[in-house]
Amino acid sequence: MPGGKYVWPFYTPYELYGTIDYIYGWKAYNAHNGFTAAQGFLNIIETIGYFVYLYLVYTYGQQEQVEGRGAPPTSVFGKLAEARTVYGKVAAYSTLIAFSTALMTLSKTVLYWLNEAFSGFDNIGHNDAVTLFFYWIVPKCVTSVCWQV
Amino acid sequence: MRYFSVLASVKLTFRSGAWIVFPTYMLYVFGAEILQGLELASGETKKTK
Repeated sequence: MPGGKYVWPFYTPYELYGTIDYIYGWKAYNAHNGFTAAQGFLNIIETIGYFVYLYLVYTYGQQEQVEGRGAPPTSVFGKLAEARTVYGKVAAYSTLIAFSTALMTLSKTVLYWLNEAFSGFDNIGHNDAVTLFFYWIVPKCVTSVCWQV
Repeated sequence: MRYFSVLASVKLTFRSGAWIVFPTYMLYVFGAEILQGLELASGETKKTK
């Protein structure tokens, strides 16, 4: 939060973002809205899930010469873009973890947007269309994959 | 009017959002693998691959 101990250098951009999306700003903070904290807690579990999956794949997986499914070209990314295959029990565990964690990611995304929509755009509705486009939609795309769509 | 422009913008985010595209793809891929495993375990003789 602005004025906080760790704002610089880690959270400087969020000073602006908190004025665009109030759920990350003073409005939610002062209202003791627990949504962001609850969301952060689930984010931790989700991140752990992905790291466990990566650990299993990179510890037990066998490197293959072919390009991985959905991976960037091996000519650019080398071994990193090659497929890895896990077998047996580890394969079963890692698939289950990956499926469950991906379901978490999808559900949370839908939840954020539905929460905003069903609240009558309580936290972003104050922006005009131009502000919303450049400070809310573009950042969300840049941090993701607009270049792919 | 403003409400609808906001709604349109949010829909735009929805369409281009990686947070929807990637997890959906992952659910499809991993879900298919889980189903394949369960089908094999159920004694289905049909070859799935």
